[in-house]
Amino acid sequence: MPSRTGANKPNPIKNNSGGCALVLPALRVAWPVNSPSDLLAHPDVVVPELVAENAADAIATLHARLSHATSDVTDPGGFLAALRERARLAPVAIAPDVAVPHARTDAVKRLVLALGRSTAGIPFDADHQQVRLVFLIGPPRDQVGEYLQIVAAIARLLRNGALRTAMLAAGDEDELRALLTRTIKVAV
Amino acid sequence: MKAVIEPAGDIMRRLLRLLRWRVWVQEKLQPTEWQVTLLWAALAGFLGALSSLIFTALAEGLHGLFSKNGVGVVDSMRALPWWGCLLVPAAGGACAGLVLLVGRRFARQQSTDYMEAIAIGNGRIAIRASLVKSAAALFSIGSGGSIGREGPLVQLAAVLASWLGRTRQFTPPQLRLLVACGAAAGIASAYNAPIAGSFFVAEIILGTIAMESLGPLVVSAVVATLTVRVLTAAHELYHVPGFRLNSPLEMGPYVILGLISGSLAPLFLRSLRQSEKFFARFKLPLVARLALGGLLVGAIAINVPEVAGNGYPVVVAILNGHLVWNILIGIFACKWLATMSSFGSGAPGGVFTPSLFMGASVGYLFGTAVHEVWPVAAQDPRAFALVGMGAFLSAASRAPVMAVIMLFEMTLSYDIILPLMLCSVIAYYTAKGFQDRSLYSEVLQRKAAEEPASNLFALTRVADLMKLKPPVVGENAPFADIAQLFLKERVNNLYVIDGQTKFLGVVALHDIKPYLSEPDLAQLVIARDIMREDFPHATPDQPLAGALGRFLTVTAERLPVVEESGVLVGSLAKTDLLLALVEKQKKPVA
Repeated sequence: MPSRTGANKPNPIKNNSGGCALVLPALRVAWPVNSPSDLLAHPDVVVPELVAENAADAIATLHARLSHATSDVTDPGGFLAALRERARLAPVAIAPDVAVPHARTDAVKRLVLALGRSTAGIPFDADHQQVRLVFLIGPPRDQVGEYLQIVAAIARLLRNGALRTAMLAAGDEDELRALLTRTIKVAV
Repeated sequence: MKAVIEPAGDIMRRLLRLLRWRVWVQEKLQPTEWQVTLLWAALAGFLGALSSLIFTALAEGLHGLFSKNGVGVVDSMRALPWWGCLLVPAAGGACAGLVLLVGRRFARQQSTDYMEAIAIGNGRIAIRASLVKSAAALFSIGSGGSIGREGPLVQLAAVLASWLGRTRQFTPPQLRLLVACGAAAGIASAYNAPIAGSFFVAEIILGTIAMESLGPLVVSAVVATLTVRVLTAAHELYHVPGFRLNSPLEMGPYVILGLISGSLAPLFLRSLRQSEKFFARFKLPLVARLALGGLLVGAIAINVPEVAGNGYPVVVAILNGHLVWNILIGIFACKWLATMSSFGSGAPGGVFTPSLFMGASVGYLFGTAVHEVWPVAAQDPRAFALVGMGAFLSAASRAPVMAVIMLFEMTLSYDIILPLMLCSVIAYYTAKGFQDRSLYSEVLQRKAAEEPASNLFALTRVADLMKLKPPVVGENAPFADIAQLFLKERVNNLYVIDGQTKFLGVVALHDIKPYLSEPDLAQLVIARDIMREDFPHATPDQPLAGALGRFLTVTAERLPVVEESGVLVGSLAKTDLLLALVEKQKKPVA
């Protein structure tokens, strides 16, 4: 079956890092990300206080932080252009206070994720004036399955009301990260 | 582009639930394109049976108009006074001519031959022209013309199937197969013979018994026969006493019978053709020619009423031993003449049953002759009649398998199978040695000579097989549109195009399947987010073998067909490709 990288669980026999990840879950943080859920538990970038005036601003800020944080963004300019284009074409908000700007692109080597939180609320579009959580996703062009997985995971996560409140109330980056790690591990 | 925001409310949830159902049904039942083909074949079979029954009822009703009571054609001819015998067939012929003449105004003069449509055409049969021809056939059959009724029956069933396929926009290979199914249904319902129906079409018209085509033919024939059996109290066509091979010595005379039948059949066919040329020489108008043909039949029928009609009651009489041989000789000669005049004058109908009559007579006469000389070698001349039918049919139609099966199905006489099989084969080879043309290849060769352009073997490119207007979505289409399209079309992959119908990629149902319970996801995703750009595709000018290679790289039932410029022009189905490859390998029609 061509062009479909192992989507669900890493195959313990074929995937080296996956095998170790199964055996030593405690050390997962240090190991490479194996699945979109892992990525959600450990985003590349977490911005606890995102300051932006509008959608474009928010995307640009997160994008800049992401490009600096990881070398897997090979073409920052292209990535930003793709993100802007996608946000222009169709809405990226999935809940009154959550937005998921994203763009399939060749400008990344792997799936990248940046999370930004704004306590004040950012106006994204006419129907979503108070976006508080922004998940910026950059899936490589051929990873359709992974992209769907992570967006679904985000959606599931946010249906958890308690988690949402906790995320909005968390103090700093470490707290947010810990919250995510804890929750994702339980959920998965 | 202004995006349409679909709130993750009831509408989206309902849509996703429907799509989940569809995916579930697909996975549990896995209806493939083949199963759908079989369903359509069954429908064609049902319609074909209905049309056969209606046509037969109409012919009998028409005959009831000409004669006062509901008896067979032969009996009613017997009952008529001499001027009645002349008048009725002549009037019938004239009416048939009138119908054809009037019909020419309403329908273009196109070929209505179903065999041509299947074998060298694209499956499209002119509907109005066919109906006109069938109506004309009703008159010539109902008035006692010495012509068979199975030709128009099969034609009608085939036309119905063609119409059915055209309304659903079938591709040419699928349409040809559906028309073949219609023809099989026509034969099966006309003779209550499902095996013969499917094998006749497979052997003679398609030239192959590969399962790709035989499967649907069988389904169609079975459904047609079932329909006929349910709607009428149908039983085997020729109710005969049990015949047996009484001694191995009988095989000798049977072999000779095979040789005789094999020699006579080409003679019979040639005589029909000569008769056609004869009538054409007089350059009569259509109505007059048909009336003349009917008049001749009527003239013969004054003294020999048995020549009227297709000959079925006479064959039954022969098979049950109710006719004495010296009377039969007379009837045989007269019927030959009558068939020549009906066929030669151009009366629309078939020569299948008249051929059966010829074979039965020859067999019976031969059997009687042998019985006189050497009783042990031919104990029952009636059995020879039956075997003669099979041999003659085999030689005339160049389809020995079909002849054997059909005789068996029509009489349910299995014990005579040994001589039947042998004789049919011998007759086939004998006839082939005489001349290389059969009853049916006539039609096809003439047509192929007239229209050299419509050649099946030109069908070697993807463009000839592809289905136009595949289901597409724009690259910015919201998930709701995608879901709705998946529900409407029975495909697993939707093609994504841009504003200039340039092919961009494919949205696979398989990809979104696990997420059909996530309405929030549905809010966010548009086509370009989830399309796959590495999906293989074919080009319109590609030869079939190359396109087949592309199918091997992905488990999909269809491939998009994309031009060099990048524009999406159609989709190619794997089953169509396989059908076309089977057709390419078939042996040419004998």
